[in-house]
Amino acid sequence: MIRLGKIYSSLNRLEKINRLTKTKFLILILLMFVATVISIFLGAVNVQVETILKIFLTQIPLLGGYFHFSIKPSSYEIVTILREPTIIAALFIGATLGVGGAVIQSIFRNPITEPYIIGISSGATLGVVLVLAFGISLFGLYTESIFAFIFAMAIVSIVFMVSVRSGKISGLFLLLVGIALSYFVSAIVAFFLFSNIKLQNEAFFWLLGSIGLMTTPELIITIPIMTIAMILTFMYYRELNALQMGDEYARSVGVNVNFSKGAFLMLTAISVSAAVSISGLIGFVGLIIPHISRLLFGGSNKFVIPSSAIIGATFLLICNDIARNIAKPEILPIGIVTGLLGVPIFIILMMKISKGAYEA
Amino acid sequence: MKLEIRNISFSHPGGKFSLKDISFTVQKGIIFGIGGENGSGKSSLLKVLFKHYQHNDGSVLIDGIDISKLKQREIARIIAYVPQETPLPMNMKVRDILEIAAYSAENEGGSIEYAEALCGITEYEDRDFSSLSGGEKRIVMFAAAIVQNSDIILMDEPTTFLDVEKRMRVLSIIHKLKEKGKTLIGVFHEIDILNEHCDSIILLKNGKSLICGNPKEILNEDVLSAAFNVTFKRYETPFGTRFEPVKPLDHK
Repeated sequence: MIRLGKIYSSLNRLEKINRLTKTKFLILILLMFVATVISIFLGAVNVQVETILKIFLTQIPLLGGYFHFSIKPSSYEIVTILREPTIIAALFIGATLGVGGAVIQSIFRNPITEPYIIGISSGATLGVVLVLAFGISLFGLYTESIFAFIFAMAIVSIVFMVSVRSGKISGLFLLLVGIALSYFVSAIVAFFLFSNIKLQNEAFFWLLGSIGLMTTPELIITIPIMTIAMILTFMYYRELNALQMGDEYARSVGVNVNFSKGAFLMLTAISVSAAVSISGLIGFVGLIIPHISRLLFGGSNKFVIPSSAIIGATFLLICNDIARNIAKPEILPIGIVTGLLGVPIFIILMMKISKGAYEA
Repeated sequence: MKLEIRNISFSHPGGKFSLKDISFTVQKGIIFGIGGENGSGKSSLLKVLFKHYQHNDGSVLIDGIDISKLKQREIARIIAYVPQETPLPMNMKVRDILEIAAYSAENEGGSIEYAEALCGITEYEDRDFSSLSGGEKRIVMFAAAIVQNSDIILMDEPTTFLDVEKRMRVLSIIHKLKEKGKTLIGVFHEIDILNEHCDSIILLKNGKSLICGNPKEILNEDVLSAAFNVTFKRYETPFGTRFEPVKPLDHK
């Protein structure tokens, strides 16, 4: 059960953070804010600053009804239907993938793991490919997303059930089962793709990820899931820190290791599956963003979790801006941009500021 | 707090018995040593004491309360643990490690500065934990156990692989903690430490208790030979009795 005291003590601990750390966080938040504002103005059609500000005013909850401006319907639709949902999606999906990566790397105590490794990506892909292959339209427009979520969770659950041995979750065993089962599911996906050329084209964009055409209903369902998962993860960052020390030590300081591991894995599986279900497979973010956070703030999840969320959100937003604007009017799959932009940034950061942290 | 171990047996899942019918009592405020050759069950015994391993039979009682009835967090408030192999978390600073140890402490993080001062590590609390030497890491783990603020501290080979200075520092910390009323239970390979620094010891052989009691009374060449498969020579020095290993028993 979530206790208010837990939230209070989490916030209370934040007061003890030193000035340099606070400054770094402020800069990151400022960067995210600037990136968000710039993103609103970017697009195939040029919308005036004044028009955008008017639209914002009309959107203020409760007060929006008091503002009456003459706004061109096309401008209103561009901002509220095309740009805003995409920007919000980029922020939340980026944050979720960043936090998911930090959690998975902490639980497995392995810096080269990411959320997809526990079967989320292969499961979601199978769901989407089945929808495409059999023309399933059970849930209308949202059939692909719902199938992606259900299959991602199903594969994660199988990985989880197989990995629980004698009532304990072995991290290495779970990792190996996750990788093995992902290969197995990918083989099924490959079989479907091999047998239908048309399917390859349709699945191609999903496999590279895209948030260019996001709808409000998709966000209304997934954003609460992603938000709650991130808040819960942050509230329990101390358990996550202890798990980084290994099961034996975590247990000695009082962590209920099996319960905590299971809860963190499920939170990550649900939130990342929700993100993937609406965006497709956006690679790289979950793997690399936590490292950038650790290089900036050290390894404690007190800082890694919130900073992974902010950096992940900002990074995906910038990638999305590039994907939408670099080859106008075409929109590039965002997975191409995350790889092309993120890898060089990451390598430069590693070389500049890692200070031997990866020597061991 | 008095710790009673009654007829404990433990086996790894699907494996043979690591511990069989072990019983002993550890009084409050003493240094209790566990000795024996490699694979005799010393580390397994420590891990049973904080419920990392679930024993198959018997009971572990703390002031009469069975630990199997306690939650992990409740056990951590009574028992801290200094591991044999130092964990290597990603990019964590020394202070982060100490904060982890405060997880179940009642006065959360309040004793971090005290633990750092007691162990002499105040100057490197902002250093990356992975950049410390093996000995420094061991001392940090002691500081972590102090932060945990438990009455009983378990130590798995706390002096192994340390240079002379670090070994002396660790022993000094152990004695300081004893003076503060803590009960220390440690696995030691060094006969000198079992003999000179421990108030009471148990020697294990193939997972069974060989002998238990005051080392000054129970340790002799025959007992040590039986425990370690090595012949020992006893000699007296101005600092007390010493036992020197001579040769393995099966050595031709």
